[in-house]
Order: sequence, then C-alpha cells, then structure tokens
Amino acid sequence: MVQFSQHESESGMSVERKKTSLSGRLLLSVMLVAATVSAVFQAPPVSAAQITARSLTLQAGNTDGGSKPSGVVRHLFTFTVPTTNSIGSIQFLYCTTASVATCVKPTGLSTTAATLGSENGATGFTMNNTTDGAPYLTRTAASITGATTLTYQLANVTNPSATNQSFFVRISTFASTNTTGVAVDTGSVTATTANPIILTGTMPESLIFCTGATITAAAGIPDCSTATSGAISFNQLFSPSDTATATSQMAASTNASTGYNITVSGPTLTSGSNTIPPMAASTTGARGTGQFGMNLRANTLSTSTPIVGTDLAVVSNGTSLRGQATTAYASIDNFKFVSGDSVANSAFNTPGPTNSQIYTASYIVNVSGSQASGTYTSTLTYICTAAF
Amino acid sequence: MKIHHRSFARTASIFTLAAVLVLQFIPLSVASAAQITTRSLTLQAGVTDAGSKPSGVVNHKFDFTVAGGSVGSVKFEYCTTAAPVTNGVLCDLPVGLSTTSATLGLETGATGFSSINTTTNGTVIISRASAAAVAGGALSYQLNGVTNPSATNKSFFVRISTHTSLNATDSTPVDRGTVTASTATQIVLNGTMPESLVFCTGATVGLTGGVPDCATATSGLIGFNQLFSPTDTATATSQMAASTNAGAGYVITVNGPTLTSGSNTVSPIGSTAPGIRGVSQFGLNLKANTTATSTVAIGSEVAVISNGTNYRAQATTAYSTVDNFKFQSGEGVANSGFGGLSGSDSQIYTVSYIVNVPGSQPAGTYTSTLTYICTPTF
Repeated sequence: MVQFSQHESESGMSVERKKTSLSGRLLLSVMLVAATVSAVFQAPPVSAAQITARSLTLQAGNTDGGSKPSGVVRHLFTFTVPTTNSIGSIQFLYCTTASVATCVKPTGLSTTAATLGSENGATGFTMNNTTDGAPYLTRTAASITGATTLTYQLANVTNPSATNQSFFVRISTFASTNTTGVAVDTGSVTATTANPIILTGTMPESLIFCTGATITAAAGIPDCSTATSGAISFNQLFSPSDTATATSQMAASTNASTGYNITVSGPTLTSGSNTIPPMAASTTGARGTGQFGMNLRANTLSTSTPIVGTDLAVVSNGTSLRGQATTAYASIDNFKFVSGDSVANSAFNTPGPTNSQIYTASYIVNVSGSQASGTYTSTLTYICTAAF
Repeated sequence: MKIHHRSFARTASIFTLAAVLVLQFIPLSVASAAQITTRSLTLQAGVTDAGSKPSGVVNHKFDFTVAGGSVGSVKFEYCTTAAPVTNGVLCDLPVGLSTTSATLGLETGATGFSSINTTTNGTVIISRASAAAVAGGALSYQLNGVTNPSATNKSFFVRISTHTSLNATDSTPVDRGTVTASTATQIVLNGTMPESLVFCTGATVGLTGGVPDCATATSGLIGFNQLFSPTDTATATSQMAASTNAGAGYVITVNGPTLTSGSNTVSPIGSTAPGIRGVSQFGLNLKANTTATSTVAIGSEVAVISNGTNYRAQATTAYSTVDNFKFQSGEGVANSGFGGLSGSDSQIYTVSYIVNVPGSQPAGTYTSTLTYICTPTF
C-alpha cells in the first residue's frame, strides 16, 4: 500500500498540474504549428475552372499543310479564361485521349523544337519545350483578367504521324512559372490530322484547230464545236465588172513552245478544164482580170461592195494570244493564193503557244470577160502544224 | 314405460324439427374474408424520385381483383412482414416509410373514394361517402407522395383490405390480400464524353452501318478524269467526313497552291463563277453539279442531308452554288452552321474540282497538294 504524506500529496498534485499544464501547452503548440503549417500549405482550389471558347487550329508550316500527318506545322490555340487570376505558365499537354487521368503522347508528335510564334491577350511568355508533348509558356506571374481571349501559336510542332487521327491537347494555366501546383484553369481541345489531297492532272501537248464557214465564240472563247460546214459559195455570180467574195473561218490554239503554222493547200477555182488564175503575189484585186486570192484581214470597199473580211479576233497581245497572218496574207485589200503557202502562225511578237483566236479568210474572184462560164470549185485544205 | 318412451320420442322429434326450422332463418356469419386476387403493388416514379428509390417520395399503385360486395373503404397497411391474413400478427412499420403525406391519385374499378385518411403513418384508408356494391373485377388505386422505406434492396408488404364500413373498422373485411415490393439500389452509371472531333479526308470515305467511317478513307492521291483540254472540263472529286460535339461547331478550310507544273500553273478561280472551257481555271465546290459543268455530271450534295439539329454540315456560300466554283487557299469551305453553328453528327462532303485550260496551257503534269483543316471551337 502506498501512502503519501500531505506534502508529498501536494507535491504530487503540483506535479500532476505541471504535467497537465505541460500537456496542454504541448497540445496547444501542436495545434498552432498545425494551423501554421496548414496556412503555409493552404491547398489551392481543389478543382480548376473550365476555360471556354477554346480551339486548336492547325496552320500550315513553312512547307507542310496544317493537318498533314508528321507535318511540321503551327498550332494556334485560342481560349478564354473564365476568371481573373495570376498566371505564370500555360501548359499544352498533348495526349491521345481527352482522359484527365493518363496522358499518352500521340505517336510521332514532337514539340521539342516548338517555338512561340505569336501571343495575344496575355503576353510576355517564353517557350519551354524541354518535355516532348508537354511544352509550356512561362513568364513572371501576372494577372490575366477574366473573360480575356488568349491566343498562342506554337510553331514548329511536328504533327502526329497517323492519318485521319484525332489528338487532344489539355490546356492548363498555372500560378507558378513552371506548371507546378494545381492548375488554375483547364480545358481540352482536339484536332485531327488528315489525308493530304493530292490532285494530279496532265496537260498534254495540245493543238485545237478547226475550220468552217463560221466559228462562234462561247463566253469569248472560240468554240470549235460550233464550226459550221465548209461548203461555201461566193456572194454573187462571177463578173468582169465586180468582185465576188466569200469567207471562211478557222480557230487555232496550241501549247507548243514554238507555236503553230497554218498552211493552205489546194487548187485554184476550177470548172472542168477552166480555171481562174491564182494570185501568185500579194496584190490588190483588179476587176476584169482573172484573179483568185485570199487574205486574213478586214478589207475595205476598195475590194468589194460590201466589204469582206474581219481581222483576227481576239486581237493578239504577244503573250497568251499570238495569232497573226503571214506577211503575204496580212495586207488589207491585198490578196494572194499559192497552194502550200503559210497563211498564219502564232508568232505575234515571238513564236510561241497561244490561246484560241478566230481567223477570217476572205476570198475574192475577179474574172476577165472571156472567163468560160461554169461552176468553179476549189477544195482548200488548211493544215495547222504545232511544233513542240 | 311405453307411454314415456313415445312421449320422449315425440318431444325429441318436435325439438329437432323446430331446430331445423329455426336454423333455416338464422343467417350464418362469414368466418373469414375472401382473398383478393391478381394483386400487385407497382412502385412508380414520383415528381423527382424513381419508384424504387430508398426514401424516395414516389407513387404506389395497387391493382387487385375482388369477388364483389359492399365496400365503403379500402385500407392499405404497410408492414415489414407478410403476416397471414387471419392470424393477427402485428404489423411493424418499415423504417423510413411514410404515408402521412399520401394523396389518392388514380382510381379505377370502384371509384368515388373522395376521402383519404393518413393520420396513422403506415396505414392509409381511402373511403367514400357511403358503402356501395362493388361488382367483382379489377380495381386500381394510386397513392401518391408515399415515402419509400429507407433500407436499400428491402422488401416491404402492404396488406390490402376492403371494408363495408367507411373507416375500415369492421372486424372482418370484405376481402383482403397482401402485396409486396422492394426498394432497390439505384444504378448510377458514369461515363465521360470528351471533346470530340472526327475528321478525315480521302478520295472516298465509306459508310459503315449508314454512318461515315473514317477508317474507310482511301488515299488522297487523286487524278483528274481526263487530260486537260481547252475544249473540255477535267474533273475530280475527293471526300471528307466530319463530326464534333463542340458547342460552336467546326469550320473546314482548304489550304494549298493551285495546280502547278514547274513554273506553270492553272489559274485559281478567284471568285465564285461557272467553269468556262478554254479559260485557265482551277476551282472547287461541294455541290452536285450538272452537265453544264462537265460532260459527266460531277459531285454530290452533303450526305446525310442536314436538318439543323443533329446534322448541320453545309458548304460555305462561296462553295455552295451548283456549277459555280472557286479556289482560294485558307478559305473556309464548310462548317457545321446549318441552323446555327453547333455540334453535328458525321456527314460526308464531296468536293468537286474542275480544271479548264486555254489552248496555250503548257504541257505537263500539274499537281496540287491540298490540306483540309477542320477546327472545332468548344
């Protein structure tokens, strides 16, 4: 049995009180320390706010289209932060899915060469591309006003290699300058690579040439499908006192590098054994003289009533339109006919390819008073030769 | 002895005869109520809670068939056990169950139950102005605003009894029967639909089960249908499919150079215009064109046709006129703005390309690599 004297008892009570007091102080101290530690390590908001109006636009790089698989392109991020916060870094985390829990970097994607192209809304950032697939922008933390639209263009990002494949980028803003801590705002965007459409077509060596009584232009372009028959009659009976006329048309175009050359071939007007003398040299028409000739010009009343012929249409410009009559057939009111002669070419300014133009060939017939009666015919063949 | 014997026999006979006669005029009382049949309790959703939700405020619909009789009230007594009808087992109220706010909803078969007594929790008595005969048949009563028992996946029982009295105080009901139901754990399914964009391009994009399937997209290498010619229009097509759940929908742009062969090009159509043969033109649209453009009509409309709700695909104005074409790199050619920019299910666009050339177009193989970019805004 243990007995205490009163002194001992009082002393014991004092010790107990001291123990109690000490325990209380210790408890209080622990609570204060805990409170202090808690205050120091105050947890940020447990969940980040959602950034809105967010998009990722794939933009063409120096040589590659924006959505080209494995293309080195630009990624333009546009988004709006919901509330005002101090932001020191913005991370762009590239993942195969939009999953928050895990992030698998898309195959082929590379951000280690990424640079900051442009920045708007909140500026002063520099690029940290150390971690592939998780580049971030950093700056000294500064406030970004809520509802501000931010845009950042990351240049030199290599797209994922899979074709027609979606990938996701989780955008997160942080108060820290190195994306540590809990994100202030977050939001995911997605984009997809796409098959480049490679259109291929062939422009072959081309010569479009047609002849007929008339050729019509469709929307200003000579249309060979409108060429009419080549059976052409003179406007009147041959007469020693007047000039009979007729016209035909032809259209030509080529992409031949040295252009085309058009010749006329055939006999003069013939009726049985009777002929009308062809005009061997370029000269004017003379009524009462046997003459069969042609040119490619808009002639005047000096030649006939009514006037015959039209100049080349559309007028040549020496670039895309190069048609011209050759010298012997290019003088107004002067005519010639020599079978095999070149009558036109695409050498206006310089020989070369030309778009389609319409030539009008004017034919005249003058006859002497003794010209034997009969129906005179000539079948002319125009040949257009392109030299590629 | 003989006289006494006869007298006794006579007395006994008279007594027996009298007893038989008297018994004929004394009605036999019913020893027990009849069993109601085809009975059930259906837990129906309340205003906000599903029918079997523990502690949910829901509707209890009772269906049963009676043989008939004069009925002034019907009692619904909620218990934890299905006590035998006649053995007087006490009724324990299921924990959490509350009928004090119950109201009478639908009533069919026997109607006119204008009064409901919910004073005693767990016991609901509906009654009418006076007892009336009920022809045998199906009856149905719905008690609204009943709070289910709180235990999960727990059966509870309701003893139904019909009474001649108006307050269900008859010692012997007309008919009676027990039904049971059970609360059930609510199945809470969670799933996440992430931000979504499905986009693909190719010469063709096929359907699987009627839905555009990007897995079927073929190569993007496309040749024109014929050699370029000043007298005819060369054509080609590609396809693309797009869907997104982005709130502001998607926009598709086309990017790339015009057809080029070395230093030679086919001129892009700078503003929407018809094709003209013999003129240098490279353009595209997203329509079903006619033979006004090419000998064989080219192109198709977007499929499936947009409806402004779940299908919103449309070509932009510059690329949405039949037989009119344009090509400008970087320009939007389509979006999910039919009926307003919003998300859209997958649809297939057919892009038609035309080439016209003048006679002087240099010979060569012309190529253009076009990049289509689909950008959704969430």
